[in-house]
Amino acid sequence: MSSSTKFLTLKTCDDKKFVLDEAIAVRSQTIKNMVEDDCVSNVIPLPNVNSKTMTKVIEYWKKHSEEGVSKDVLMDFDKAFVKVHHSILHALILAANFLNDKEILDMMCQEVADRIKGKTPEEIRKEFDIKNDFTPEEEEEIRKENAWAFE
Amino acid sequence: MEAEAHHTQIPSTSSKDSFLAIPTLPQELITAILVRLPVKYLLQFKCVSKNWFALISSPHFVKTHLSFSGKDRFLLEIDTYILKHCSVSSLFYDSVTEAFNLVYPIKGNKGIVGMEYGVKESWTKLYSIKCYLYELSPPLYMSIEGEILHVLETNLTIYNPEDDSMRYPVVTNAFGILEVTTLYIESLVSRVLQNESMTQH
Repeated sequence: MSSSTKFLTLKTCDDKKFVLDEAIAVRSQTIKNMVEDDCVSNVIPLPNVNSKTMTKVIEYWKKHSEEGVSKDVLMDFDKAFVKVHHSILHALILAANFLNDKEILDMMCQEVADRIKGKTPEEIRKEFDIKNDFTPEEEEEIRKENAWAFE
Repeated sequence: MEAEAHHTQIPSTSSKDSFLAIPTLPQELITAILVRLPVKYLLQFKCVSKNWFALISSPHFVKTHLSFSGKDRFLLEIDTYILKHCSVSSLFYDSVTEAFNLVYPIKGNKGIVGMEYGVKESWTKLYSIKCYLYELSPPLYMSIEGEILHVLETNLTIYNPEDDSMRYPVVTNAFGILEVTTLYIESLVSRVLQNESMTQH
């Protein structure tokens, strides 16, 4: 295997380069397609992913590509992996979506969903950086209509 | 449909100084997160913004949520009017299954509990129970292994056609006389919503 190991260079939007074993990088369906279509030159640009996020993604890829890792170890790794600030979670969701890595995407979406359970609409707005564009009357109307859900 | 048309934001590709700025997720990814939530939270989150209201109310979202929420809940009606729910897979695989009180709107006409949602689409396996059981209900659910859930008189019972055996799952927190059991899926589908979407399109 070592003789045939191929390396790919990934370049993030902030111009950082990551050299990675091709066998690991193809966990990204997007990169896999590029490799299969033979349209990989020296460097694969990742215009939607910054280096900080990519470091996290590669950390995940490497751990999940290790040989002989027990399920328990991976579960512990995953648990620790998702314990990050929500802005990083969102960045990871965007990156996983761009890289087309369903495993990371599903895990991150589930984590965000678990975190927002039980939060108030106001807390959600903060977390997602959303402006409340309802008038107080409109908001009251929606709350009234779904009053049981707010109990 | 109209929910997808407006405000589809372009994901911000954060520059070096914006690590703590919250990247904006496009609608499809917000959907991917929200479909994992129970109905109760989704109804609360309708008042987050106009965009979220439109998203959660859209027929597309309702359908996606329905297909995501799985078919794993079982509704028990005990002593008339007491509604509880429990997990179907737990009935088959756990030694004890806990039943929970069902939270649903009692007042008003916007019922959340819909009982006839295409659950039985794949009854293809024929089986016959060898022993004669007068009070056995029609089959309610079949596990991957082929065991079949019924109600026998007022107890849940799991029949195994392989060896013609019966076993009785233990359900806690559901004492009383079992009157109705049915599979259900929690969803945002409602008569009101369907009417609205019909008039809008």
